[in-house]
Amino acid sequence: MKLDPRCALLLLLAYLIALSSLTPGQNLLLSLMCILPLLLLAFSPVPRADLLAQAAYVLPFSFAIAAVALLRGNTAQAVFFLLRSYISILTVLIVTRLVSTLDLLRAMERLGAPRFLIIVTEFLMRYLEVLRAEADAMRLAALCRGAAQSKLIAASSLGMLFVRSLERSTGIHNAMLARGFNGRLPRLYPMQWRIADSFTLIVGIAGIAGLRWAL
Amino acid sequence: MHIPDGILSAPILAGFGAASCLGVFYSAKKAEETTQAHRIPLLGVLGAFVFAAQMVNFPVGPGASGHLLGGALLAATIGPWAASITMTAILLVQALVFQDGGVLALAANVFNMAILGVWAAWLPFKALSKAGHPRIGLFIGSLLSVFLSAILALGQVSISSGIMSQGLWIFCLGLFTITGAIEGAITLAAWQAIERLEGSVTDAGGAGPSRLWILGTSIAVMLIGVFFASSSPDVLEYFRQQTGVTSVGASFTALMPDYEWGKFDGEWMRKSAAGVAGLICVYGLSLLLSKLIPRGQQQ
Amino acid sequence: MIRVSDLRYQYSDSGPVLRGIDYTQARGESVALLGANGSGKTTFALHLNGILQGQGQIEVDGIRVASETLEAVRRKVGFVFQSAENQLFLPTVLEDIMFGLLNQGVAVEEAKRRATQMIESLNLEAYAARNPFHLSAGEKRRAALGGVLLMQPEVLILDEPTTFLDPPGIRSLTRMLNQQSMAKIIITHDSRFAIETTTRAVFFEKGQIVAEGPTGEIIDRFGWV
Repeated sequence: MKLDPRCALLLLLAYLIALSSLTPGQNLLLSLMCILPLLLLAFSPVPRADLLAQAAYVLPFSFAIAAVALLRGNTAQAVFFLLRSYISILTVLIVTRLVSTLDLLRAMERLGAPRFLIIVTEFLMRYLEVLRAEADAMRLAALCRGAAQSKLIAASSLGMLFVRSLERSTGIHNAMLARGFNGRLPRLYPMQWRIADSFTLIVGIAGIAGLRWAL
Repeated sequence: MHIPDGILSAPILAGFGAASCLGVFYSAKKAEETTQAHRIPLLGVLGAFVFAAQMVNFPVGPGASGHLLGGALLAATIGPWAASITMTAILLVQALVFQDGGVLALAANVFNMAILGVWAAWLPFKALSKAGHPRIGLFIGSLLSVFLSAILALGQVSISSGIMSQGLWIFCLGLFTITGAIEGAITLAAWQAIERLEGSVTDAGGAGPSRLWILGTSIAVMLIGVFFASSSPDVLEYFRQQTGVTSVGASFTALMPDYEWGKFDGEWMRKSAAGVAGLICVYGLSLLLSKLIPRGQQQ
Repeated sequence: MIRVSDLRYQYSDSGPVLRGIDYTQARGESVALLGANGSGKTTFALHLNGILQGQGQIEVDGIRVASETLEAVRRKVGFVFQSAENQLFLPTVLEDIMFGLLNQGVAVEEAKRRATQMIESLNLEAYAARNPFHLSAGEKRRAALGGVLLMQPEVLILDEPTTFLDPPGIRSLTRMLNQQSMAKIIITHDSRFAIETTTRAVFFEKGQIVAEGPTGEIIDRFGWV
């Protein structure tokens, strides 16, 4: 069953909000809250081991906080922040595997995020890899000329990358005009909210709220 | 400083989330009004440029290199409204695609980097550009952008986790100053390279009257100043302590006694909230007076 | 079909790029624009759909190209740009191919149906929901062309369409273009491709058309191999 992206986004936010409402010391309740994403992980068609490992890679920030708490002798607090960070990141990873980033952005728009922001983000995503490939090519070209550590080369690379971005955006705009662009980008993706989505949302939020506040 | 999920407390997320939503909605409205159709792809492409620019290692010292963060450069080239939206787009992609910064934590990250960070860069740049010193303005703006957004982020983390000590604060302040200076240097170098290739690329669009600059700077100085405020008694308190004169009973209850707003937890939050409220009151009163006093008398 | 009289143009930061171009093209005719880099070929072509607006007169199928007629002109003139990366600017291939139809006022479902058919004819089904970045150079070129062909233009302009294409890609593109009956203007340095897809050529030199005639003859005269 394919969930409406809005439903997925609302459930993700509800879970993260419930987690954020926990205070240091509520380690047992936090552990119980971890059940939900772990169940989702167990029953979803996602690479489980990869996601569990990937969630750990983005923990350095939380490690720093946990380390300070440990140095102060507060082990419970250290565990709390580490666990809450980890389970939050893991949940986001699972959801972004199940629902594409593009669908999540569009769900945000349908839920009220400014359209202008979402359009800019879509252009950003479209050209992210293109510009990174250009930057990589510049870096390699500089290396080949023995210029790995040169401020001038680095600054020139940034300048050139910027100017190419300006030129690229002009080219994109010309291509848009040539295909009849009239100043307003058409919206291309109808979202169909079904009864199953309402059911999932109600059950999901009830489950999250029940686990968080009823126990 | 991208804060991940799981660190910030619910009140911090709620407060900054509301501020971020307001900021982003207003910025989107202003950006759409001021951005001509041909620049819509430019904002997205420049967002991608910021990602790509972070792959360019800039040598900053023996064995050390930094990379461009980009907020200041965006503000100077496309104006603060469009830069706020582009930075928000960058933060969205960082959170959803790269898990660099949390999804719920966007509430704070967007405020810190896309709103405060952009305006902290733009205001000095604009002011000093008018005075004929755009490069100095760009350097100071870049430094302030990084410094202030990092300080605010650290404040949010500190209040949420309660783990920060004064020593750690001082260390972080030093670190953020250095990071800000590096950002200033890289931004300036990139700017000069762009000018050599393209000529001037400054956004000429106005964005807010100078009174916003004054209010914004005041708030920023106040937020930081709380940390450096001396705990020694002021002149009157010293006199009272030395002479044994006791206080006269107050004839009214102050709204925020001792410059603290009791609704908040944590000394920094109470003092800062009181400071912000006071500044807004003074600003509002000044604005009201300026409207009421006939123009001729104001000369 | 196309009539150009005394077209002149200068970019803001350069000298004159077009110095009085006169040009005509009949309905259904395929013409190659040849000439050195910087001779004005692309600048000329960008005037035909109103992206650039210089001095002089341009008429496309009886419509004078001017600010107020751009929408009508761009329905008639399709442009495939040299950079397919810039042409495919939407997040997925399917959406990009639909873009032109939606701007023409076609309903979303109908546009999606036609775009899906076009994607199947281009053998790009596997990429329909993907970021165009992941396509090969040839696939990008086909997708870009597909998005323009779907708009059913009466004049098709292609700017250096064989750039980055391998020989099989060039052959495939040649076949596709020869199946299209609309008037075509092809800017190219590839003389063999020009001979196989066009019947007439004009030669640009320093912003002026200095010669025109059968494609093979122009190529031989200027040694354009």
